[in-house]
Amino acid sequence: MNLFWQILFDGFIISSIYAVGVVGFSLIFGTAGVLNLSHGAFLVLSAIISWFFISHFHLPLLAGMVVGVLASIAVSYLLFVLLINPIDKSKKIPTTEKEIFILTATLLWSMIIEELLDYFFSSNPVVVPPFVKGVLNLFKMNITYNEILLSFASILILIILWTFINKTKTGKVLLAASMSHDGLAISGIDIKKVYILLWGVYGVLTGLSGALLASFLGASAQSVPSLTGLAFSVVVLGGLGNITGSILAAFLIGYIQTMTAYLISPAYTSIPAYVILVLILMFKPKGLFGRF
Amino acid sequence: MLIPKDRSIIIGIVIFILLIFVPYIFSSYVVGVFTIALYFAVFVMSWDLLFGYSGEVNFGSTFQIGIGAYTAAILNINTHIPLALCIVLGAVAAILSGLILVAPALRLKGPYFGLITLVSVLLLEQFVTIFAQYTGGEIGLSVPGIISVSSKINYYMALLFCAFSAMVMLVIARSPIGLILQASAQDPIEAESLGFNITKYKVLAFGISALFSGLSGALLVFYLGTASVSLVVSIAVVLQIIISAIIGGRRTIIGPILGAFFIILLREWLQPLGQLSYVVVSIMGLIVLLFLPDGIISLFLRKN
Amino acid sequence: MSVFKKIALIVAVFAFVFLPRLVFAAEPINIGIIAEQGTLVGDSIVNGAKLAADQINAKGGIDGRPIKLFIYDDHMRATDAVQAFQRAVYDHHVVAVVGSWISEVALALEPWAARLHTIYITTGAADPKITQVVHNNYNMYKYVFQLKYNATEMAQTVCNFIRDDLVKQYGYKTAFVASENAAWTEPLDAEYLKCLPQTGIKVVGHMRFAPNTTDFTPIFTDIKSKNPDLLVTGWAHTGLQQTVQWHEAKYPFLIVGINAQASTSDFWKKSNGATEGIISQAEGSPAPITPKTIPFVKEYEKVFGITPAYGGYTTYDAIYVLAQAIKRAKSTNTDALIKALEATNYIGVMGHIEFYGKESPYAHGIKYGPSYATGVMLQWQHGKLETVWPPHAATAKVIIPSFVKK
Repeated sequence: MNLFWQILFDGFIISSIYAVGVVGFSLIFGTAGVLNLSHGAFLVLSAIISWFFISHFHLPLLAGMVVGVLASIAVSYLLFVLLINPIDKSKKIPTTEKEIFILTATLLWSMIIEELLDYFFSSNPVVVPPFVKGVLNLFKMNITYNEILLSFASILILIILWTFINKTKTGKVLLAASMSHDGLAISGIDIKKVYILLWGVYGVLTGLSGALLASFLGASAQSVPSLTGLAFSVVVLGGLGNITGSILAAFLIGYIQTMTAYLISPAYTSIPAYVILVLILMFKPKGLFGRF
Repeated sequence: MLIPKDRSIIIGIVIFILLIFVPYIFSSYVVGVFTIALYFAVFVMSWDLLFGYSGEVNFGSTFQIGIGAYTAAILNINTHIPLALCIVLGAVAAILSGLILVAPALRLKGPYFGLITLVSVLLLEQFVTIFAQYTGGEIGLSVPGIISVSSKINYYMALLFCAFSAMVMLVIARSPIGLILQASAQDPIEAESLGFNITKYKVLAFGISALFSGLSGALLVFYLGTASVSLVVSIAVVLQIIISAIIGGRRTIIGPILGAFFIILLREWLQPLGQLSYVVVSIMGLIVLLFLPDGIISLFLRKN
Repeated sequence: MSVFKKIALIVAVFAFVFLPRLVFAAEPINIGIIAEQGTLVGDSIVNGAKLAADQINAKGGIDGRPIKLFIYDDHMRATDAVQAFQRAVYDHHVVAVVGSWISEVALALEPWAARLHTIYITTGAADPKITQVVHNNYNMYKYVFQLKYNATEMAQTVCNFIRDDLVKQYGYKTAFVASENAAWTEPLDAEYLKCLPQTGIKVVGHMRFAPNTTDFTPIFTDIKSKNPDLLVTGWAHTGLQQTVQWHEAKYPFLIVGINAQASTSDFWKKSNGATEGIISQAEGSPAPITPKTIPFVKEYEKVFGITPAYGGYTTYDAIYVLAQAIKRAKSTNTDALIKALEATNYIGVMGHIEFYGKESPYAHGIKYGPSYATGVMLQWQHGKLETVWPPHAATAKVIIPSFVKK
């Protein structure tokens, strides 16, 4: 019986952290149509910057996180201005190949961030300090209050995001942008402003989730590819562009991994998740939940 | 007036002739760098064959390369079969595993093929770690058999192999198969309605791509004497392959050779920068991507 | 600028360029260093080599010939390392290549040392396979040396410490072995399972986890259910996450073993102090291991601003061992040099260094044991790395963290 509760609690904590880590990837694909393969680099960048300001300049935890989020926003706008927008506008690149150009460009962007982080902060991982101290003993588990707080903060961010997109006027514009750019132009909304808003939201989201992620799981330049891989797999599993679907898929992957670790062996944690992903792609390629 | 495609073949021949003289001009060390660049060029060409002529982005060409390399290495260590047979069996394993795991995704539209290939690499990486007693895990394998100690022999082997691969792939690309694939990449519905079974041709292109990836992976192992994840499996290798193809000029087969040499020689030249050399290479890659989207080869193909 | 000033400048430049050459009229002895720059251990390898070479050159070099180092970064990739090795041999005509802490890299360089007939001394890679290859085919691989004791011997160090200290002083009785699933931990775990029972410790469980694990809750929950006194570890690619999660959630067992990242000084900041109480094995520490150790660490700290990671101790010794061998062989001829290296008998900063002969399964590895090199055990105490074993080098006694059962 303990095992059941252990899987339930531990799986919930890890899944909610995964969900907040990948939802930005889904958002930016669903709205701007960009598969941002530097997503992992965004998360790690904000985590390492936050950690650096907290541990070296002795900033309070939240102030350090703000610096991390600012860094993430800056990188987000740079990516848009230097790469995404020029490729979008380019007449030399055929429309059918814009997707592969954006994929390659974001991959290169990711490598640049990764190598610079490696150069300045070494490749060893860092952990953002815990927000609260203390341990809760439950079902023979040692659950820290920090994990519980992280899990709630993640859920809160997801709820705010969902409300923002589905219930506010600005959010609805974003949603509309994802469906038809021409429609927006007709309704007189400046698409440029939408993009500025969008990449700003993306920066804030990755900035926050990077720090949350690294408070429990740690972050290093070397974890960039696996984080991008996680985001990519989760988002495809949930149906590309479907934000609710990606959140559900994050829980699915989180629970499969936790169950593997508890019931089979911690040596094989990530394998069943990958195998299930391949099977789903083969038999239900639109993802488990389709689009919208 | 030559059409650009014929010109790209002439460029290929010029490159080949220039490369013949490399061992007479440079030190053994530089010849070693060129040898690696030649094997790498085959990886990039194989990727280009699949992408350029069927529009499928393969994020997992190291799945084929890795299977080819590890199969050949494990056979060489545990059996007494000749080196050449190890290499061929490695390539066969690369094709078969690719056909079983990856090829079914070719019938899907959208980014799903790309994702399956990506996941296949992550899976292979996991398996290499878990079956460490056969694969050497994260440490890798050193193989007893090598092609030759002489840097010249190694170099000319690689050059011949690269030239042969380029020829075969060029012939395929310009045959009716290549043309059908190209048509399907641009307008799949049209091609389908003309009665072509696109998936069949795509699988064929995939198989050929896997064959050369696997062969080159196995040969590289027996040149370096080592097989490891960071050499033939890791995602970072895939990134280098894709970047080389785009920088060199995709959909040309010859362009990828230029791209491979550009990346490997640039990295070598920037070695004094230490870790920052990778940053500079990536930035150069972005500049080419933005300002010369048809790659380096387009500089030579442009009409005067 | 007047003509006179220009001439003075030219003379000054010439003096600057050529004076060192006049002082060292003799041809330099080239040594290649291959390391993973940007990693703590890799940087220590480079720094250790530089420090030793500078000291030897300041005393007149090797029989009047200065040492010249050629340093290559392999970016932790075997291909880059092989290319660097070729460059060292073909372009820079080195007498020997030293370095790398990654077994993958060392094993990839091994065949190249054999093919190019060039001495290669790894000063950081721990896999016993490196020396087994030498033992199995001595004539081909005699060029390879491992100036660091291997993973099996590292496990023995941990067991000896547990026997001398934790069992005798605190009466601990049970242990759980949990290592990352990697090739280097296979000989390590095998030796743990063999030597722990000999120290009087009962092994209540053994587990290997994926090296990309970041959430250790399932692992620690499982370990806790077996209720061990000690958690015996083999961690190098991983280390930070489990250290922090152990500390935050206050799991009541003591962590002792190999936690390679924790044996370096910046781990305190990376883990926000969670490493307090962690005990890890290391090759050297700022402690009186030999009379040479503390002066070396002081000098190293003065020049580079930080204390060395293990690669610094081993590489510093390797350059001295190599220099002495060249002196004794009176030549840089490879075969003569191998004979001279095999006859090494040198007190270094990490201990008394001699190599095993070709009949040993660890051929060309360094001898291990109390009269040779044994390694040290370190513990994080109040934000500092203290040496707690062996007794003659100890700077502090073990402190048991408050949440660990005594």
